Amino acid sequence: MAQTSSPFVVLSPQPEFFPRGGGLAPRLEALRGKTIAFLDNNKLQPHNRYFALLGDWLKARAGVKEVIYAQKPFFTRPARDEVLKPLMAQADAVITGLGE
Amino acid sequence: MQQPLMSTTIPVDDPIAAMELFMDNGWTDGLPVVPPTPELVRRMLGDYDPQEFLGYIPPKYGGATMEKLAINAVMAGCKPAYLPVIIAGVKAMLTEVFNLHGVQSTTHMSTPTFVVNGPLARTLEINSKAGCLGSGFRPNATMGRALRLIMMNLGGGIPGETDKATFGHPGKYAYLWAENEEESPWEPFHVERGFRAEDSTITAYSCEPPHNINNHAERDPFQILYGVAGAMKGTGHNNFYVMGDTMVVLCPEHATSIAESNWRKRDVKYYLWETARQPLRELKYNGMYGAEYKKNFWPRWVDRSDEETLAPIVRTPDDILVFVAGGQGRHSVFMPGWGTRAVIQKIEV
Repeated sequence: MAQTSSPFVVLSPQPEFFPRGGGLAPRLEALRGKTIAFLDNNKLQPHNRYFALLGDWLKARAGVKEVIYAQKPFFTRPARDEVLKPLMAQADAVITGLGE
Repeated sequence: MQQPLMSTTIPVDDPIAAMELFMDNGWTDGLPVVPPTPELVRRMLGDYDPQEFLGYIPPKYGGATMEKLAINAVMAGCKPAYLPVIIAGVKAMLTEVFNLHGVQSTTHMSTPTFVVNGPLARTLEINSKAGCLGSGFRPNATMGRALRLIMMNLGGGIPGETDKATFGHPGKYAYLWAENEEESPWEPFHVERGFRAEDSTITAYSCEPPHNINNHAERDPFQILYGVAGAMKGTGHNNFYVMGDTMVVLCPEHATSIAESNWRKRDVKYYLWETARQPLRELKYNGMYGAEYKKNFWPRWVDRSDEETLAPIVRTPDDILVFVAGGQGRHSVFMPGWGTRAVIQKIEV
């Protein structure tokens, strides 16, 4: 805790700590030979076509070895361990987030 | 011995400089805040251990300690007596079924509304009557604001950045109220959910702003609730597509008229569930129906192959949360949900 001689001191409302290991994984140096996973939020079916096209592109143009597709149960429900753990075990990187 | 405060200290020239600094840093909701000095934070904390940990607030996953909750409560203008309500509200939001990560980052406008039940609502003078969803009442305004500041500062729910709401809504400043238990003809919501009448609870429910339902004409339950169901049947809100919970808040005059015909709260839920329906041919032009949509969140008995099938607003009558609140006048409200569950949490004092 920093000390100060200022006449008026306030405390930061911002968080001082975060979950251990909860940050973003280190960026891959290259895609070639890697396994890449897509985690679809399951909002609209066209997402699947988009991810399928992107997966094909990654394999054909970037040398990605394998592409894995997974879905959240729905966009208002969080992904459970049975969805996340296989991705953690098999994928070198996971692409997720909204894609409306 | 008092436990030390661990938050970063920030020296400033005076309180006005502190308010400007918090504005510049994006640490407020756009309104000035009370500068959280160590003295005010200590007073807010009372006997709570500043480093007691409640969890990580998504989507930024900032660590929520009692100290951080107290800092944001001071900023919002809360009294120390309000802190237990805020703690329980945060606990409710951190349950998995509440899905705070989704609520904070969705393009939908929803934000949690918080409903307080039990004796503490009266002790703290949380408004449950005239104007309870509006401005002008310190408990409602400051506790609701504190919970929003916690969502922003610890959770990182910053509008236009991680909070991707297309519009947002005014409840993102504050959206906390109490059930009007004194003027309700039925058991309070927390008793319906298995708590004792002498317990105090907070219910967190992610939703749109209230939609007014004006009915000065009728005393008959069928007529009053037909109008309520009509408002619920408006297409475009999430419930018809995503289900989850939905909420109706009856004013005391409507509720009393309905109860005078010996209707229980359960009768209200069943009638609304049976009546607030739309045929699939209407739903397909809105929401997330569309040719590509899997349409799989309705109950199995909804025949997807028949466009005349009536889909319910939620899966079961118990998914319609019915409260009584408000003052004089024959106006009730409907609050469409985001598509998740309301979570009720006991307030420990």
